[in-house]
Amino acid sequence: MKSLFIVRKSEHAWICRQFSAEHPLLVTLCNKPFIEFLLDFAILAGADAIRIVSDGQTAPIEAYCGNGSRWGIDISYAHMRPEDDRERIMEKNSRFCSEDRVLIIEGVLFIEHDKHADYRSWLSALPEGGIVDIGSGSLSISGEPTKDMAVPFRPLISIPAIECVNDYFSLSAATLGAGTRYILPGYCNEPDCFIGRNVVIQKGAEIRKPVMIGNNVQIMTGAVIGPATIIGSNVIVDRESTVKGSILLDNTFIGEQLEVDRKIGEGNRLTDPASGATLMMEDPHLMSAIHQPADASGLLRQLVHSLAATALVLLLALPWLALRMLPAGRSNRNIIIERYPLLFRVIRGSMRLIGSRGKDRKNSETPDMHIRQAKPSVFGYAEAEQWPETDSDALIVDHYYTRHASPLKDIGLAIKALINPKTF
Amino acid sequence: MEFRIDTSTGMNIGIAVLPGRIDAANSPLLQQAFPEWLKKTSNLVFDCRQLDLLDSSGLGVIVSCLRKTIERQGDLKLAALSNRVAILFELTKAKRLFSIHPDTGAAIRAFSSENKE
Repeated sequence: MKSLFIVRKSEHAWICRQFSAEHPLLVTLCNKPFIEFLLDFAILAGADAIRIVSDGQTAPIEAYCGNGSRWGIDISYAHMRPEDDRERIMEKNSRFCSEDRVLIIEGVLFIEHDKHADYRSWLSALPEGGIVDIGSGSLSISGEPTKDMAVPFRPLISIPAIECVNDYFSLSAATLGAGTRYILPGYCNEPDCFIGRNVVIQKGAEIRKPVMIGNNVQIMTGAVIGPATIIGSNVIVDRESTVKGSILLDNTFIGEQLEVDRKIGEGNRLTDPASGATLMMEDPHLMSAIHQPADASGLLRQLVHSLAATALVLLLALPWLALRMLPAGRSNRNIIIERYPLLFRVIRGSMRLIGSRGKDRKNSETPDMHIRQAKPSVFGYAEAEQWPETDSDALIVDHYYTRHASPLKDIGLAIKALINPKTF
Repeated sequence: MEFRIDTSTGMNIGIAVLPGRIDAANSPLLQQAFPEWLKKTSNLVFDCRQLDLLDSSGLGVIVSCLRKTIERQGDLKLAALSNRVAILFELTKAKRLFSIHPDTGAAIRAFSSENKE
């Protein structure tokens, strides 16, 4: 038998937006991508060759599944147009479909099945036609039955509709609850408990079944995980937090002393499946980016910096000319030569007198626009305070200065920078 | 932040309509304004229907407001929380501290029923 998966990306577009996956079939359910559940079912049905036909990019699925050698089958890929119907797709893949019975799985992400059931005999005897149809997806078989026998008792098979995040959430819980029916990832030496590799469960943490934990997970002291919880890979649940009835997808961090109940977490986003509302957890303390209201102090600061720079230009003009005559190699001369012309930029308004020096804020990883948009300065805050300015400290210094700057502080820091023997 | 006193129930209940976001930038304003409100009444309702974003500093100020009202034998009730803000209260367990109501009317009725008891 062969199997044809027909996946229309547009039908499941919401799932990609919700879960930031490259393809709907790569979204995980119980830490296992949907595509793997479909492959499991097709293999149980006796398929030895599978073709995945999609109107979207198949490259992400190809990268994940390869040629199917991992499952001991042949997997091939084909494209289709969004408007192609099943007949047209069968026609385009006629060579693949012509010589054998073909199990056609169309528009389906997940098929409820039982790994212990005999689908092979049942499907072999089943006449050509539809098996299950839920409107948004269907399961059908083409080709003449290979066995001339009565159709056996129908094993468990159904297609749940996955049309919103709440459907996904309910299906995840149901799949975990019926873990013995599916092939699920993780070490399982007792029912309803699946644990991945490199899982650190610190002293005092509590795990309540049913639970599934992925790879590279840290559960800190006093944390309570479960029941009915699915944790993906690369997840940290910090001290004394509780996660119950929830799904934490890959790369999620749950801060200290939080309570996650019936939520879906992915990265720093927490979704309530019941209402669809999302909350961004910006840092372990839930601190969001600060949006400062527009203020008039910006203009005042610019004026103060320009006036101070003008005064310095006049004051340092003669010493600068005198020091230019000194022989090279004197550190003082270098600093003044480097920075004196920058004072004119301060007067023009393209630089600040005091702040953070020479860092490329636009390429900085900080999401804070105030830091990214801050103007470079002649004298560094770190220089003024005589802090050792290392690369790792630069961003912290930037943040500190941007958040605490005021015209009065700028003048004070500029004086500090000027009297600092290392600066001048 | 709009603040008014509701006298419809015969008891002074202060209603403050919180803005769209309370974060580190404007939470000090709430902290400064709150003692003035407390001088007028110690029974307060925060109308959160516009509130869409609350960060840790904003949450800290609201919890501090609750503490101040309790110190004066009053109460601070929250009304009309958006789903997003409700998640935050649930996540941080702050939900257990506050009396949360679907709208300001329900919060005012809760005050009057508590008063009768």
